[in-house]
Amino acid sequence: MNTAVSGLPALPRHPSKAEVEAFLAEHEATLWQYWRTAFRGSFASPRRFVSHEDALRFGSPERAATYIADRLVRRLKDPEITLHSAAPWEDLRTWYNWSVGKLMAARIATGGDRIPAKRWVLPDWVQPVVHAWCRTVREAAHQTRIPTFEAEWLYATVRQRREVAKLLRRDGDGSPWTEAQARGLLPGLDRQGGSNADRVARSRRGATTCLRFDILHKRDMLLQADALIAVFVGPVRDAAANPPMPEAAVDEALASALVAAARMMWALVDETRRTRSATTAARLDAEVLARGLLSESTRIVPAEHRSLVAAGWPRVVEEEG
Amino acid sequence: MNALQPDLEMLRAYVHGTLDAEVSEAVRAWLYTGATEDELMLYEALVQEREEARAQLVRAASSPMHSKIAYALHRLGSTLAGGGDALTRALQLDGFELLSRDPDDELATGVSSDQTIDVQLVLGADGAFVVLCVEAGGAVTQLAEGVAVAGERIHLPGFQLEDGDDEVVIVALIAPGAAPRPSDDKPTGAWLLERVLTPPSGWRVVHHTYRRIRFAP
Repeated sequence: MNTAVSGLPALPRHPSKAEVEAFLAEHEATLWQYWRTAFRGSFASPRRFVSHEDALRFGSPERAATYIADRLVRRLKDPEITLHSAAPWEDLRTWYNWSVGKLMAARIATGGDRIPAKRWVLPDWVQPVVHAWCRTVREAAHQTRIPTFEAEWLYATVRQRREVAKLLRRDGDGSPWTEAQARGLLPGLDRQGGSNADRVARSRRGATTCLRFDILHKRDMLLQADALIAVFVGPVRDAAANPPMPEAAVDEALASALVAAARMMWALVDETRRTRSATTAARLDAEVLARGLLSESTRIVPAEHRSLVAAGWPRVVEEEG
Repeated sequence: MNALQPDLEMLRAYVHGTLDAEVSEAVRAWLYTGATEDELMLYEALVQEREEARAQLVRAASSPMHSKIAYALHRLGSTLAGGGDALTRALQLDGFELLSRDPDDELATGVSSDQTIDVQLVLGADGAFVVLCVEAGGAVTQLAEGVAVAGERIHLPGFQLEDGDDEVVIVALIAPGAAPRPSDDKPTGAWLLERVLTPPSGWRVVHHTYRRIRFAP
């Protein structure tokens, strides 16, 4: 995500009183207006974090949000109260906690004293794989300007990557990833977006996300890689669309190049699956690659060229994991 | 390489980039190797939350004049708004005109984008008035100006929220007797802000915000 558009300059991580004052002298009104509108919006969120007192006392989200914004500005200006550690402005919940006097500073600043017990050392071969995926994903997120690209890709490839967890178990490190039920994150789950229709929508979107990843990840072996990247991993027209379509025009030549690229990548996947001596890392990479080559991925091409693309698309069989 | 399964607070801190580099790296390794579908959905929701907040931040920062005026009006509060002055909405229903005073305790009224907002100004005491509209971008336009007696209803031209406008603030400045501003210069944000921050003696200010209602998709 391009952080350059962030509207307000950030406070220093551990701001002095003078730095806070200087900031407020210039931006107090903007900050207040931001908090007022953002907290009002947070009342509609499924993960509402505003205390019941604040929500109920004022009758309407409008009044409650304005009250919270007032309280935050008042606390920032209060000479008696020190802001030990400044959260990013987008981190509404941490600011809210501070506004009601909870100590946020120590909790997030170091992480040193509150590392959960579940911690594992991964085998050596995992690191380069994870780093390579991560690098590609972040680059794609940046270029397409889809802020949730990483989360979508991770979700779409979860079944393919599950092999990692299986292998880790087999390698005798114990069973690092316990069942979700036993995990600390469970209270945060609200099952929003878990309906069947949501899953279908996610799957469609995920396929194009994975295709974007594939093109960027395998750019070294693709013909016309630069042209493909410029369009399909370039800025999208509307990041909320399903799937998000490239902003740049797609002509017939480029559609053909995409088909050729998909066939080439599929050949690689196929070969890796057949080769007995392929390393675990190579197998994982191939499975993740295959996720972007489903027929659903062709939806990334505008309708007028879709039949052309569909005709040449590799016949990828998706196994049930 | 270490992997670390975070709790909710830590995952949120990861999303906001406030973890130590080493811890952050370990959480990332968990996201890429161990997180389940449910956990990844939660991760996505947290990223989404951050992006929504960021969009609000960008919006607020893009029109500092609007923020300044809204904040100044808020701090001015209702101390000067009493005395019977009021901004009310006129609703047309089957040819009958209903007057609805926006509830005193409401700071803002929600309107949908295709709705025409008809506002009337009622003065509590004789005076000269000017009514200004502060758009979301910070632009200030004049809706009406004149002299009126107590209790008189002044109909303001109806307006709609334009695309991209999330809220408009209607401000009425009322001066006893004298005209609130020379009528030959264009109203500006700075002009309005100055009078809201330090109202000349005897002036009254009433204001109301109209905000776009958003329906969840």
